[in-house]
Amino acid sequence: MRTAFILITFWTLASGLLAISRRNMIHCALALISFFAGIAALLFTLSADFLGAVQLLIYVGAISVLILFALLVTHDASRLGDRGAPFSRGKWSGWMLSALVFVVLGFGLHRVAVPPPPDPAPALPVAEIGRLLVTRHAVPFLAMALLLTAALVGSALVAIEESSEHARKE
Amino acid sequence: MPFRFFGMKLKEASGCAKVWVFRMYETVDQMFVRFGDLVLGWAATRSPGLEPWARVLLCVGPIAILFPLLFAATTWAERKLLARIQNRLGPNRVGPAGLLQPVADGLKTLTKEDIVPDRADKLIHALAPILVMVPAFLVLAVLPMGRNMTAANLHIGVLFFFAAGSISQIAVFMAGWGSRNKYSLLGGMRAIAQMVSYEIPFILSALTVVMVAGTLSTVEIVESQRLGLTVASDAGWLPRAVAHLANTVGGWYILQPWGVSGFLIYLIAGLAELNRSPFDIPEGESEIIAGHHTEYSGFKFALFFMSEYITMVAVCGLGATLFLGGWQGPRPLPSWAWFFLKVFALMALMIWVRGSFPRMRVDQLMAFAWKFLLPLSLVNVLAAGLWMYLPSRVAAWFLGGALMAGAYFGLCRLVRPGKTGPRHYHYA
Repeated sequence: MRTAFILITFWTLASGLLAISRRNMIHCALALISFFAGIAALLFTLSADFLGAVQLLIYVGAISVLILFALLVTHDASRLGDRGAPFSRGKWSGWMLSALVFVVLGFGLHRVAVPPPPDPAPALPVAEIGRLLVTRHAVPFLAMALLLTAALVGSALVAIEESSEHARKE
Repeated sequence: MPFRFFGMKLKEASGCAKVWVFRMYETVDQMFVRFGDLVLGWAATRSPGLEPWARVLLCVGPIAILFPLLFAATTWAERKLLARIQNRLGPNRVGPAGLLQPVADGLKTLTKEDIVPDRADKLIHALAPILVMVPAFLVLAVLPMGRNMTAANLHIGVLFFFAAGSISQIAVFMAGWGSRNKYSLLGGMRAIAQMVSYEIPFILSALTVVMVAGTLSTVEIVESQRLGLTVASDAGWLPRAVAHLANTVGGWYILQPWGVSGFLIYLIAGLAELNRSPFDIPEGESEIIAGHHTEYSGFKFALFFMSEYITMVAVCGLGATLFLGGWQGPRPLPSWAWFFLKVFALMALMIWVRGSFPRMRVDQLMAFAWKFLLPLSLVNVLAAGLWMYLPSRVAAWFLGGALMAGAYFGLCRLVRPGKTGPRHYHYA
């Protein structure tokens, strides 16, 4: 299990690095999808089956398709192969900022006292998760659903305007 | 108290013979499980480290051997059945009744030249046919193929099936993009759009079963479709047989109003998920020359073909598990035979549909998914809720049936065919 965990960690990290360093946008997107799948695999090795399956279903199955569609619909498909330099001019400030975030997060995590894991690892049955989502956490659950729907409708609106402009140009 | 059937007290058969018959049945029913236990026991005596590996091999091996063979049989059966529908003979040259045709096809694809387009994205082009096999085999792991015969009895089985199945969209996109062929890309985009759209009614139709069974585990869903009728122990063979039949068949979810409509939605959405006729526009031969596998030849093409058929078996298997009682069936046939019988019946239905219906247009396809199937499956969830919470089963039956019928006819009336005018397609 430990070996699998380490292997998957390296796979995930490598995919993440590929996702930000490739020139080809589609390659970046596919590397990002591989990264999502790696996270799902990590969750499976940590025996969080439900989260792993949800990660696979939502990120690999849905979000990635959204990304791919967004890439192909909003860009000129013939020029997707090359997006120029992988790093922009402001790369140094970007590196600095991410280093700062990393330091702050690391410091914060370092300060947190990690409680010893309870002896029988707590298992939350899926039915219990579902029950909590529709009873105790119903309001945030619904708010999140509303937010996502609004985002989807908004992005569809943007896409429709763009395509009608496209049609006018033709 | 003796069980009376139509006022007659039926005599009991001799106990000894009955026990013997029951034991025979148990042995046949569990023979694969017993064989597995034997292998495990042998491995445990050899060395303690061997046992987990033997367990993995016993789970993976049968799937890896059986389903490619089943794929070969399916291609033969499909060609024969389609030929029968179209009043032809079908393959009849190689072997008796053309039975060895899959072998010949396999040899042909193995020896063919592997052509990769010059400007193709080589890595992605090569990875796609490998990746497309992953979900096809992963989803088989959670199907209960008989009593105690599930490769991985996950407590989130149904969710795992859909989650693993969603990987195939990425593989199809990679094939379409990596080929650097506009027909391939068009086919790939069409396939993804179709799969994403039909995934929602597909999952919602399975959700009704999960709701009523109260579990995501495929094994428990099968067990929840068994009724618990009991007859007195000294009852005759006829009441016993009737009770046995009712226990093993009466609980199937397809026998309930939401189950019928859920099963139909599942089957239609499943056909679309599989990119099979009448939803085969991603591969329409006459429009975009086979879509995402235009640029694949030789064994890479065979891999795409194989994943399609194995996924078809898996979708039929999940359909049988969710709605047709899985491996449950009345006795003389063992449980695994019942499972595969149901799977073959569903596959024959899919082949029949392929032989009978013309291909849909792109706009019809999307309108059908979003305007018709999606609302219908939402109403179906409501009908399943009624079934769960109405105190009277009869009332729930009639109310649920009326609800589904009303939704069907209402939607048929509401969803008018869109006006067709000149359309501007940019990418798909």
